[in-house]
Amino acid sequence: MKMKIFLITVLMSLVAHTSFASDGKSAADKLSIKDFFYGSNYSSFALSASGNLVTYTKRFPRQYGIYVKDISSGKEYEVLRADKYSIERFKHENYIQTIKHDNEVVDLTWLGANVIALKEHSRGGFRRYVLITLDIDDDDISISKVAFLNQNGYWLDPKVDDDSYAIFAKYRENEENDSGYHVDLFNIKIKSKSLDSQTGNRKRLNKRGPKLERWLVDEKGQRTAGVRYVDKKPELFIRQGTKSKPNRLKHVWTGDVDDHFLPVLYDEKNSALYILTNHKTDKKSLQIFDLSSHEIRETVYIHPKYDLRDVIISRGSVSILGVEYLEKGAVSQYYFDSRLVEHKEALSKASGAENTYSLGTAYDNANRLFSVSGSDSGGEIFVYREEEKDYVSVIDLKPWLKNASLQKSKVITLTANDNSEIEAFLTMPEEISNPPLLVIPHGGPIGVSDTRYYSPEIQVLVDAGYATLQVNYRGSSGYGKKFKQDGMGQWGQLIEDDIELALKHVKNNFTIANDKVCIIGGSYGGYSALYSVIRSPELYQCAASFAGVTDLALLFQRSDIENDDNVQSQLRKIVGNPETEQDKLFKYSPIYHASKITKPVFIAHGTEDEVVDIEHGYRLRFALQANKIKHEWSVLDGFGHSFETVDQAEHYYSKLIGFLDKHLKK
Amino acid sequence: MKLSIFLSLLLYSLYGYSQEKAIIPTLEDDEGFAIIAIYSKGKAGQVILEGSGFGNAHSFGPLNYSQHFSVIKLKAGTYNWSRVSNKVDNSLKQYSKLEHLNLNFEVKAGKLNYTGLLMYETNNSSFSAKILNRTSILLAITKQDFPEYIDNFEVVNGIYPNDQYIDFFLNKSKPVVGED
Repeated sequence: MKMKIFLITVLMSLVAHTSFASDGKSAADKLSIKDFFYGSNYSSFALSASGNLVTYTKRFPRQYGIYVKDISSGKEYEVLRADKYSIERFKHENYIQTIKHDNEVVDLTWLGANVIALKEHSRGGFRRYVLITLDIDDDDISISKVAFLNQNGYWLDPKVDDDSYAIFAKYRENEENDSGYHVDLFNIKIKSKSLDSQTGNRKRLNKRGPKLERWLVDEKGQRTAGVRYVDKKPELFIRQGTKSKPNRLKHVWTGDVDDHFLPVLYDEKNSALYILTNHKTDKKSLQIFDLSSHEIRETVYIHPKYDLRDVIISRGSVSILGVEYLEKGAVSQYYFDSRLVEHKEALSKASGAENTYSLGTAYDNANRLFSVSGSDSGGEIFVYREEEKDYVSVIDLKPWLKNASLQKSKVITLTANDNSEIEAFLTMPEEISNPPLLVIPHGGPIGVSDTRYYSPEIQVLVDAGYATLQVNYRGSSGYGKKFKQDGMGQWGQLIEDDIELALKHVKNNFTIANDKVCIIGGSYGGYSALYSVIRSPELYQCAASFAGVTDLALLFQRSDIENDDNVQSQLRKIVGNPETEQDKLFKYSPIYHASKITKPVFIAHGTEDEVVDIEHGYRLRFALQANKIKHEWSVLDGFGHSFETVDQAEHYYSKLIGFLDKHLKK
Repeated sequence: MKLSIFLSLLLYSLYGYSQEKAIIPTLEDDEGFAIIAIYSKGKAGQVILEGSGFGNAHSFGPLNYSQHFSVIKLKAGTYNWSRVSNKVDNSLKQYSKLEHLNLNFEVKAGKLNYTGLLMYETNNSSFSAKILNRTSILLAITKQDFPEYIDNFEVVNGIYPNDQYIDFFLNKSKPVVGED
């Protein structure tokens, strides 16, 4: 796989998935910092085609379990328990290779009525699929067979009624495609013990024809359309068979550079293709591609403000049920089917939650799996049953937060001088009048957004008595092409203008302590914090940076980035050109203006940060020391670019809160 | 030894070099000094540096989650971190080739050449290597452990010749061109 552009996808999201909360914690106990950061022990929920069973994973300290819950009876069955840590040995000619596994379930998929495909990762990368065949009786669910597939890819299940076969899309390396891979399709007999042997080259469904990244298949498993990206342009292929070559795929259309293009479903007449695209439009929208004219014919759904991020398709890919987008920081689903709207509204009303969205549906769309959550909630999973008109709780994801005093985030919408609309989220502590405020720019800065879901970073600071302000400044994702493009090369400039606009609005319209404001963040957020106290010292009393960028030119100065033209090119767009814009990079780098820092700063950096090297932290440290500017400095031993455990999060946030208390609460 | 300990020990501890004046070797007209810094996460029996001309190869190590830091004399020219070798048994060596990674630096005659940090990582079945630009860290160590070199030779950047940071670091009180 080609080197990914990690910088633009870096988040300050710090949820510690590898650490475990005590389910037995008393609701009356005050939360510790760790409690905010514990991830849920449950994940990977999937509803069966019948709509009566939900499967999910539960993590234990040294194991994981796979469970199936019968929605009708309420009974929960543990069908599999496996070790998190295991050793695998491979015998080679002259030696035995030993691999230590750190196993984690990242996905569960129902194949047919009684087979679950479990996707297992080890040490952060794909390890294998485990296919579990279940015996399902009225009063018992147990495992009858286990088989392994050691190929990376994903499942398509167009033949919902067929319990014997499923289509497997296997990733294959392919440097001709921008992504570095294409996908080969195989018709897998899922209850066979031998799965790997069914993915040999001779058994490919796509023996001839283009090597594409994404396929649509019909109910017989035949390829009908597909797409690949070459030189950043999407190329669409559709089946246009002849008598002698009925399954021939023809290249019918090429998009523009950087277009997003995803074929979703054929229409009922098979004369058009539903696509998710932003070709010739600012926002990603649901459109129709005409198979006769080979042109985009009409728009089915476009949101005036937000990119669509997904299309909701029925089980077995029969019809489009709706679309999904992030609205005001939370997932919103617009349904074309009024029946589904009723399901959602009934659950929203009954639960009183800020946000409900569907995770999956039964084959007949009668039962639906929902996530119910909010900025002030750890989240819960429900099944809505249409016939009974009730909802059944599957799992409370973070029960230890149930009675904690978590706070809701308010949405603020602002208009910048150039008429760009900026969204921001303000979270206020309870029962504290005129609280001090923390401005928290997110990382990235391009292609990343803050959301209004439960955030441990926000709630731990609010619990400590601080109001928090998050700003989806220009460059953030989800608001269209122009909004994202407007953030390119704006480090220390228009991005910080947007942040300061939001701060000004909050100061004028909410009761916070206007003279007690600090700016804190990680990665780009750390950069923004440091640069903001240089460019606008009158606005802030202090700043804190974790893994912050301090020298823009230094981002380019490592051999692995120099050797990758794609990464170089993207980085230049995001930051600036080190060859032709050296003065600009100098002007907006905190270290060269360290002498202007007049407010207390806290700098923390991990020794194992492979995204923003610790040299950034040391450069600023030495510059501050040379200018005899007092500051707090913390080398975080073993920390990478984000926190991997709750212990790491606790370590950092303890120090950060101590620093903030010293400067904002004296 | 953990990387963090490398950073803190070399920054804050006292090695023998700082307690007595080192004798600086004499340079020929076509020679310069180079700051050589390597960190290996995993076993690196020998880390090979190759320059142009016959016999212009240098070996460092062995390292195993440990660092190497030295100032050595090198002929002026281009150098490449070419490979890492590990002994399999008495007669057999295993090589990790690095040439395709373009891990190069320049040495200028009569100067103290900063060459970055070679970061090598291996887990027996795979390896990676890169040059990281850790100017402030490595120059701080050089100032502490090899102050005579810093005091007597102009420091130049052997990996990014146009980078202004070394000047900024060593002359921090002076405003740098472009600052308003």
